[in-house]
Amino acid sequence: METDAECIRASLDGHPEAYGHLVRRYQAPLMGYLVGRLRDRQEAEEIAQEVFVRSYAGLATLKKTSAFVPWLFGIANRVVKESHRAKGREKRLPFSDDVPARTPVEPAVPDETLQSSVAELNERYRQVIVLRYHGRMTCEQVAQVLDLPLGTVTKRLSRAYAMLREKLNSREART
Amino acid sequence: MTCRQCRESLVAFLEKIPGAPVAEIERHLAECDACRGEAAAVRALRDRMIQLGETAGAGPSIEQTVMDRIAQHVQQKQEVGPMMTIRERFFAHPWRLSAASIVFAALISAALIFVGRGNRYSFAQTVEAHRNVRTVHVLIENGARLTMGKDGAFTYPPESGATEMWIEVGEDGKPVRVRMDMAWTDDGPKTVFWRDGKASVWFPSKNVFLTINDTRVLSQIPKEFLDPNSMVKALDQRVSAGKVQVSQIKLLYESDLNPKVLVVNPPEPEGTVEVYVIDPKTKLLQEYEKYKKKGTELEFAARFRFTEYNEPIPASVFATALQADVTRVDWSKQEIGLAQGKMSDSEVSEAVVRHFFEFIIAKDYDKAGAIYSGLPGDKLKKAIGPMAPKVISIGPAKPDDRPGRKGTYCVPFEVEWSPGEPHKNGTAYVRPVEGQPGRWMLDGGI
Repeated sequence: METDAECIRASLDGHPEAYGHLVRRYQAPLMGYLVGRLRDRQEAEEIAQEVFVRSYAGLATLKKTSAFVPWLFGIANRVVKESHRAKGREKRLPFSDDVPARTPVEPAVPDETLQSSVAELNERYRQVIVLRYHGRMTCEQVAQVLDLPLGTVTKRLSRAYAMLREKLNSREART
Repeated sequence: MTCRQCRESLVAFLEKIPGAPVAEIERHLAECDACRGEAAAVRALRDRMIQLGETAGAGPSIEQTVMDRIAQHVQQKQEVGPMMTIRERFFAHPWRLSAASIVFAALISAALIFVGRGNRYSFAQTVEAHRNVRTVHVLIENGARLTMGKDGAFTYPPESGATEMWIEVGEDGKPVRVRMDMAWTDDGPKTVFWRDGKASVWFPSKNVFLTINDTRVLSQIPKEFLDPNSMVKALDQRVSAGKVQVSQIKLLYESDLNPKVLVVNPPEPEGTVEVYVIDPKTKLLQEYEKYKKKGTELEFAARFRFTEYNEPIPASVFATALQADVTRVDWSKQEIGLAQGKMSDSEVSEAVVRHFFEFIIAKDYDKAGAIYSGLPGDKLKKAIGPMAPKVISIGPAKPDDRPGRKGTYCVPFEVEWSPGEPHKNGTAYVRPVEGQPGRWMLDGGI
């Protein structure tokens, strides 16, 4: 089983085990993206599972097999949003003793300074950075996931770099 | 290549984006210490980011859990497919318009009150929500190469790029500050600013920064480009006047969380189908799409996305950092072109071309430049070089019939550019100067 297209076709032909190759192939980028975005490994893992299950269920609606990766990350964005909405509703409940409160787990990252600087970025810049590096995507794929022109993605990336360097310089100057 | 151009293209270069000016950047980096340092700093940051991304993605495999859930899914034959809006379902394929029409027929439309399962939405809520909008960020696909002619006609050719806008409106709803980045126009890429009651245009490919003192610049921009508040108001008025009927697409999973999707679908077989996507929470316009209807087929024309409502716009968006050698042309301070007086439009058009050549022959480049869109004399002198033209004939002028060129005149001319050289024919374009009533200028062709 080599290419994404072959895996997708086999999955659609009634061989769900072929989908396992795709899970293995994209688990790390997807988890990287979700951890970078949510900063909570446990939540990221739950969402990644949901994303892969939904993606499997919706494989037949994928128009171009070559667009599998942007499509997968698009599903991830929707699941994250849904999860946040659900959490908003949870918070509004007066009592929720039956649901144990979870403390966000900060992953031990070797470059905490950089991780914190990324977390401080405005959402639209952070999203591009996280998709590009945590999600290990090309700029073209980022543009597809966010449905933005390629020029806007490179422009945002350029601004994000400038902001990150500024933040890193001021943090490193303080220490 | 300048340092500014190099830095603007640095990310595209490092990311190996097709079309990035690789050779020019490499040449520039070889010569410029400062830019080389900048590139090294960006590369170092990218290396750190790559390492960070790899660490974040590492962890135990989730494959087994996912595959168990999938097995369960297959067994129960549950439909868990990704959420897809009805708009995507209907508009993904042109033939689906007929299916969409059947749904429209079953909907309430006249009063623009839409009842969903357990929720009630009225377009009046959107009109009201937009009263409080002061800032918005707009992304427009396929709208960059539009023709903003005085006749109001504009088109969206499929090959055009995207436009990005930031808009700030005052209490009275009028624009206070606007920035519009157009990826491609007839003049190449350009950025239009509206600040302090003046419009200015930055042409990076020509290194020209033009300032115009004319409020009509804004009125020439189609309303849908200006701000979503105007679009919502205009739709409300069109519905009140009975000019259009609007339907809401009923979603299969109707809930408070789904966007409200309104469709203006003219009964004629040909026309424009408009789609308004409303945020269910804020009731603000999220997206606007245009399709050309041809029988039962729909052809995508343009999509506008409205984001960051009422978020402060960073000061850098409205700032201009120009190169020292930029050509500044300020029509708000300089008299441009020629006064029309009692001449007809065609007479003044011919007079503009004649005066231009007379000033060139007299080597008065400042005056010739003032006629030619306010181009600085020294730049014009450099462009003309040692040529000493002799005019053979000018005219007759006639209106320019190209789309979006209403008000412009074409003036044919025959000139001997240097003594003894064969005569050359050309067509100069002459038009009124924005913000300077009664004055006409040379706009190109020479």
